[in-house]
Amino acid sequence: MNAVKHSAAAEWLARFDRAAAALPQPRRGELRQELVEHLDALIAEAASEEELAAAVARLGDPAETVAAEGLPPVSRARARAALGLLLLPLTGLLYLTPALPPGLPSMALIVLASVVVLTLVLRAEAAAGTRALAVLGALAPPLAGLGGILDKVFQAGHPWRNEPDGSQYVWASDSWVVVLGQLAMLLLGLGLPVLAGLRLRRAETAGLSLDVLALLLTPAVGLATALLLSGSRLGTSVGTMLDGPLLVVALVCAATLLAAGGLLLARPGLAVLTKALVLAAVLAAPVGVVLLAQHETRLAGTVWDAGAEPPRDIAADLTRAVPDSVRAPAPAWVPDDQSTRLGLGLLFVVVLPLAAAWRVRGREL
Amino acid sequence: MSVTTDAQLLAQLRRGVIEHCVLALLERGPRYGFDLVRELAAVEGLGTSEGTIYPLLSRLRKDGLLETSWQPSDQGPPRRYYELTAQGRTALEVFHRHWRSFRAAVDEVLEGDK
Repeated sequence: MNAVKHSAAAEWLARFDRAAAALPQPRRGELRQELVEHLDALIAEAASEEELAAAVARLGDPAETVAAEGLPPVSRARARAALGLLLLPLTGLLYLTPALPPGLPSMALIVLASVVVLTLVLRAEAAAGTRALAVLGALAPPLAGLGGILDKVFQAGHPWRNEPDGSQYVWASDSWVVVLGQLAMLLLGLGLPVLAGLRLRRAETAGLSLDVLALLLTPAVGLATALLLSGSRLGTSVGTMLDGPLLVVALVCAATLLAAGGLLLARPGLAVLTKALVLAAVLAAPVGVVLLAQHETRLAGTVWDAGAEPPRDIAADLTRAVPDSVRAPAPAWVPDDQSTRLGLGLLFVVVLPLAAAWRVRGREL
Repeated sequence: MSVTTDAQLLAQLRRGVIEHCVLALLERGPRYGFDLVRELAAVEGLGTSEGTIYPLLSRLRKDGLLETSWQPSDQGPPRRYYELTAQGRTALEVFHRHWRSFRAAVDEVLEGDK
């Protein structure tokens, strides 16, 4: 019989597993393996159950073994908050109810769950970066869900533009931005609480600083913001109503990122190249969001009277360039080419912030 | 100043010496982890439970003071043996030197004019 099958040893290991949740992998696995070897040797040596029970008792409290790793124990309040965050993404199932947007009871339940977890997070002790991540994790599911619903409403009602020659054009959010923005909201809504919960479950080791957290979140927040800004300007009634508030939210995000960049630039010990990368990232990210938030103009089809001949070769329409006169308006400095806008936008919103965060974290670790 | 309990005092004293006790046990030759842990935990006065010694061994291994190897066993699966590295030997020598003078200094202060 081995440690995993023997009841006293298995029970000790189960207690160890619970206590060791705070330890990072692969260290947790290594330590467990050593303890399993030790228990196996105890079992092989013990002449009776009593002897084995006494030998297992000599191992001591599993919490002491974990504490000997040099990490502070995780408080009950913190463990509760972590559990709440890990369970919070389950509220996402309420978005799958037949009615879209979810009905009032579902939304009330989602918000209530978020508020309860937020309260648990605020009562748990944690370093500033971990706490900020946990607060964002608690707020992310309802906010991302709301963003997803708004995007659906924005994209559903965009107007058509008819030209005298029968051509019909439509302004729409960039297809890639729609896909990436929705993916970003899904990641924020489901992933952020889980990430925060896992981090909160572990004792603080190398703290995640607020400024690095801002850089790490920039890609997902930037893509979601670009999608919502783009959608709100498509001319729907809801979009027109929310265009201003969304712009304010975007400006607050940009200001937060700039403040985080300022903190990083003031931090001693960072290489000049890293500081240059941070500066480029925080200045370019808002520009990237503006680039991604521009509309593309698509030929939607050709209109002609019922029973009449088509006005021209319909098949040739597919290759026809969009005339400047119907193109969606954009600031003068924004490139006309959609691929260029997308490429630069992703570079500014995704690549630069992640590269800057990677450089700073590399220095911290 | 807060009053230190017996357990806290013992823990503080142990923290400073326990790693070198492990090195000292291994100075006599490579040891099977299980035996090493049991012997150390059985030393009167150290107040160490067997479970807390594995994290310590890991730390020493990570610091390059110990190394491990697997050796076949007649009584079952291969066993993990712990062995002192050259760096570990040096660390132990340094500790020996400091310990003697440190112990003498503490004894002198504690004993006073007795």
